[in-house]
Amino acid sequence: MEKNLLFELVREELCDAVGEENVDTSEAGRFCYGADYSWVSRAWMDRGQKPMVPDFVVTPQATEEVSRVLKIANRHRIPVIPYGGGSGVNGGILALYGGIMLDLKRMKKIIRRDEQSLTVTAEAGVNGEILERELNRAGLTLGHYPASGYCATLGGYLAARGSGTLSTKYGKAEERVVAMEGVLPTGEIVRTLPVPRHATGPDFLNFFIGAEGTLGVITEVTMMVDPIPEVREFQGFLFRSLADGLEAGRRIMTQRLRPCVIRLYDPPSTIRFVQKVLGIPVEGSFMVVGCDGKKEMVALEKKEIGKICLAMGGEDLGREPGETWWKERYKFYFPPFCPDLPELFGTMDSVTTYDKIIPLYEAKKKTIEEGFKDFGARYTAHFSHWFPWGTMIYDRFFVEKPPQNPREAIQLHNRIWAAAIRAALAAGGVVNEHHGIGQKLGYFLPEQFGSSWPVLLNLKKMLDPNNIMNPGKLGL
Amino acid sequence: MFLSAKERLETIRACRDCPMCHPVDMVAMVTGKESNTPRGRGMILWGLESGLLSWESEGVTRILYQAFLDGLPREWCEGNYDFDEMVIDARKTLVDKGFAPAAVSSIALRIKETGNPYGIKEREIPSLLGSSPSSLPEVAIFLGSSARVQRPQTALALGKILRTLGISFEVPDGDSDCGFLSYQLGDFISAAEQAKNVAASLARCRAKKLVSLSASAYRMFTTRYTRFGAPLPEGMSIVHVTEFLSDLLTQGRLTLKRKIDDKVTYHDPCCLARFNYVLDPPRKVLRALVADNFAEMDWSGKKARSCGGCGGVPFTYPEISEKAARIRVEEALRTGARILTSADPECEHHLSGAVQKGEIEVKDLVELVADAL
Repeated sequence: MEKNLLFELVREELCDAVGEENVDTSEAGRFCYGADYSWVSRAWMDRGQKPMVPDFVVTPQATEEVSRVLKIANRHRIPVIPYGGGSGVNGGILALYGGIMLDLKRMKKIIRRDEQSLTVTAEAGVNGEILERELNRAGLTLGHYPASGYCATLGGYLAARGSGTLSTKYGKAEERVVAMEGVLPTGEIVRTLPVPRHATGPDFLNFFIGAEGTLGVITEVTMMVDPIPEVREFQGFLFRSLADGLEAGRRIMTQRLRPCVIRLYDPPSTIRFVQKVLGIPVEGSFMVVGCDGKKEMVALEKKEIGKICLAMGGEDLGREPGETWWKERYKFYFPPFCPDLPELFGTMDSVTTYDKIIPLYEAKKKTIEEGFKDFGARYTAHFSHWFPWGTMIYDRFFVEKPPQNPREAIQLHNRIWAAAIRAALAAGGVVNEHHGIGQKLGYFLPEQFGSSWPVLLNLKKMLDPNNIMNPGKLGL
Repeated sequence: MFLSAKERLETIRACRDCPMCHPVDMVAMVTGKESNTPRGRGMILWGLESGLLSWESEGVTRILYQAFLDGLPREWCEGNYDFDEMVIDARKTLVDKGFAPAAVSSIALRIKETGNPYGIKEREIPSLLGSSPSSLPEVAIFLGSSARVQRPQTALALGKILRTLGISFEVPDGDSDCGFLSYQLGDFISAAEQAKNVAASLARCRAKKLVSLSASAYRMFTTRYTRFGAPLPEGMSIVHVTEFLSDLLTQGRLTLKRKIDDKVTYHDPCCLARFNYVLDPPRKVLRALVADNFAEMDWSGKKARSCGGCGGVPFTYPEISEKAARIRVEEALRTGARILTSADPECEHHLSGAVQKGEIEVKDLVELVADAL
């Protein structure tokens, strides 16, 4: 937005809405929103290219202030991007068209803990780690431990349909929502019904969950919580092949055992992550299985799980590798242990039913390693979120020496990604399981949704007639 | 200065892309802005490095001076990147270019004129500690600016302990500011000057053991003085007052007759909690005072949050400092404690400023010991 009279007038309206100290138009203040955790935005900045930044950074402290900001934005047709921790990997918060970056981190109150119903109500900008610590003080847990938990916010968990390390038992974040308050694009404050399961018509929750800020702003959420389990134990197994490990996982889930986590690494990721980051000296397909709950139940589940793993040729490595993995699980995401520039990499994922998971894995691996072998592309995968009907694949591609030219680098990155996505769709997978769509994957959604796509487009037009909410994301 | 060029660039590259220490940045907790997170500051420094921003760009000075530099991001970081030093290095550049906040040069001037950054005329130090039991000093005492000006009760309490236990002491003739604040503000010229003045006065001491009442001075002496061209006198050992008291307990020279009935919680000063990791000595003294009536805050020990008093923020952005102090006081209140104790007069000054009437009493550990003699 040009810094003209209209800019100043809008600025004054925003200051009036949230307070002058909560509106930042400084060059440096806006610069900080020029990248999220996506490779593309980071590489762009790394190569000295000017990032895409908002015109205003606004930090409201209450739902009413969010409503006022959206009304201002509608009046002036200015884009609004809701921002939490900025941990997305698909450019979901990039200010493609300038506008207002609505940073919700001042909305961080933990409003109420209901120890009878085991729920917690908190504002959407609360930091995930801070919320978890507060719950732990009361002997409770949110049960949601995503890799982004140190920086993501409660609203961000839900806007991108996130999964946590223990989602196999505790569910994805969206499965733990009881109720929600949000602000529609035109500024109306709405509340969903007080419970998520009912027979009272369509559910408004889906206006916000997974919408990545395109259909409104999440301002307050009531989530289900759990007591901290009596015990939580992890075990390591080593399989000769990924297929053996996948079959072991399938049997565990389809026999309706309830591990809190199954994390299975393919052989390359066993070396890259388990060996090199955790220092656990194994080769093959490493698996961690965790169980938690009452001591006797955990013992029983571990016993049954152990039988299944051994039947599939798994070697029982004992508790230590599993406990080490759990204790160090965030280490993978800190530099210098995480994938980092100047390497080119992409964090993809997909999910499918058990009958299709091996073909899906092989299709993506072949697409990347053969299709881009001239660039030395490599592929690693692990399987981290398991469902009664299937499992998700959390996979990455790496190119050690990408082109230096930023346009060529981004071109290569996106072409690899596009090829992998299409291979996934052809093999029965979906565009993404829990990292979200953002800007980068938005153009695949018409392919994914097919004839249903117009429904989403019409919903967007109806709720957001001026197209101010996070434009350019989710393909909308 | 304290990071090589290679380390500095590696730290900038690491921090600019990494959001993993967001929950531990107290400025970000107060403002809610991404620019006030370590990643935000890392991005700005990358912007400066790559020419995408200039040092005069609006917001650069403000954001880089809105940082507590309490060591907690580094402690939290699995990669052990020295985030604080990266920011201090940038502040030095801002000072050199003349873009630092006006408070930076005002502080240096006040220290020159009054010996403290507050610009307050000080009481004579002997009237704070009283007279030494004998003329041959066993220890030298460094009070620090905050004890001399803001929290003299801490110095009075230490004086009572020393005299009661018959420990002879001396005070360096130039007990002026140690230079820590100027260093954190990036004013290395003033920091070096202040450090050399203090080092010279320490060199004139006869005692070979220096006891520091100030946690930040303790950190400055032990980790920064040599690099500022102001090494401590040869053969002089330095301890923090909590280590001194803990040793006296072990030696049987200190007996605590009156125990504390109230519940007590302890705020670890960041200069003790990190960098030198003086964690056990204050707790040993506390347990001798309160037995089982001691409650740790959630963020304690190595991961203790800032009181809002570091990084020069109380001088440059006092409203942020006050809000951070209030967050810490609320943490203390949640323990159910009636007394919030700490081991640095500067911390106690900030924390007591954030306490509402009757909520909780803020006292230095030295005061608690003096009351228990």
